[in-house]
Amino acid sequence: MRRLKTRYKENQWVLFKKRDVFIYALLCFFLIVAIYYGYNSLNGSMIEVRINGSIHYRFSLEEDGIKKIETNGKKLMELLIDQGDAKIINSQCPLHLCERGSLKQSGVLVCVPQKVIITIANQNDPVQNSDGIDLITG
Amino acid sequence: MRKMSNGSQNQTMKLSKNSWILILIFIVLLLFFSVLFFFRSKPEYVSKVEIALGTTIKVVVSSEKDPGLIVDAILREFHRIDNKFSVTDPKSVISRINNSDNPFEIDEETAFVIERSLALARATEGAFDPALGNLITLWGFDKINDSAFEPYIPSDDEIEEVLKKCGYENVILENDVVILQNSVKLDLGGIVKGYAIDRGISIAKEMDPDANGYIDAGRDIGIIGPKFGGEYWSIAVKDPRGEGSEYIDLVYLKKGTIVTSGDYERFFLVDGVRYHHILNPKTGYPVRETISTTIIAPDAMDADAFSTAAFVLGSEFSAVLIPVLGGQGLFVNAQNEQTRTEGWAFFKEKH
Repeated sequence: MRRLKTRYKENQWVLFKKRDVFIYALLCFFLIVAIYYGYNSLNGSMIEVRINGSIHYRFSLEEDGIKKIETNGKKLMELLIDQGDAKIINSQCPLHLCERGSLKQSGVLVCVPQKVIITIANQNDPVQNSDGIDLITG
Repeated sequence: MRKMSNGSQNQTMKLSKNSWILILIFIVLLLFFSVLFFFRSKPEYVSKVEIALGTTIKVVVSSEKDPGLIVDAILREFHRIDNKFSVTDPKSVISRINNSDNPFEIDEETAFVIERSLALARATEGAFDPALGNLITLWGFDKINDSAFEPYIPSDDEIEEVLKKCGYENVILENDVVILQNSVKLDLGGIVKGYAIDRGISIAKEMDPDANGYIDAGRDIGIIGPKFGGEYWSIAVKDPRGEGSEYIDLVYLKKGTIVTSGDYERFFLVDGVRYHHILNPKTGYPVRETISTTIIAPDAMDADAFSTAAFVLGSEFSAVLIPVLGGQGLFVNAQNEQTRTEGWAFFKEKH
């Protein structure tokens, strides 16, 4: 009888055994890494704002709103993020040329007088727009 | 004793069936993500955007070697050329030529750029003129990117006076010596961006002859090589009066350059009148007859000068002259009418 009981225990489907914990932990760790990796590789919707060559701000294109762009306490411009697109508003430059166009249209927003460059992070490959256009001259 | 030891070993190896299933799932997932990680298409291109020559420089490169290194080398070259040929930096070679007592000894590269600009000035009968420094300064277009820039419209008298101190005929280049007569001042802004694009392409090709990509300097474009190594780059010509990315034509390039001059690039408005940076060397005022000129040419330096010259000369004359000089063009006049050179159609097809 005692022998039978032992056999039964050996063959039954036990969900958790002490020695299984290691396997479960490893699997959890793996899943977390996979999710983190997947999130970072798919998430191309971060905006980087560089002033004089160095990154000063990072914003998500998913978060609508108006972001202030400042350096050394001086306001340079504002960045309007709206429905996955962004554009410069209220720039302190003289001709406001940087306020023309949006990030989706041109892939980059630049204010030459204030040395501000706004790009989508990690967007290395040339991206055709919906009309199949790689580049625009003019 | 030995038996006991084997028994305990067997026990530690024993896992529940669930665990074995989990291990299997784990291995399958591991293999799946490994395949994704190792065999996913690596980013073909490395791109960087910086500001130089008063505009945005975007360099996009793909290479079997180190594309990042090529991109950085090209951008360094842009900054070097910017510093060297700047008209506002007192340390630049152009400032030193303009502010020195004649004659001025110059290096080989400066001699090459000045010589080429003078040749292009002669070829376009002065429509492109590298010696309009005094006129450009009078209008303030040399400082249009300064935060403190304030629009200024000079009087007819001021313009007339300054025009006497302009003109490429007053620039004499003898070997490695340049002489400026009649107090003229050089401003190579109409050609230096093109020169930098040409240099950038050369550098990319020197570092990797199979490199491909492009250089976009304020929407003047030089092709380093075909897209993904074999395809055409689709390039739209912006509608000069359109909104955003509206365009008037589409061309396909695997090599060469395409450069556009427009009255919408650098301008200021006073009382609703647009004053832009492309000045007529004869009148001293911004050109009114043209609003946009686009040139396709093998070299950006030539294309840069041709687009300025075509802007000044107007559509009709340019449609004849530009092909003779080695370019093809699309010109838009003030009435928004488009004129194309005969050879332009070649670039509208993928051959």
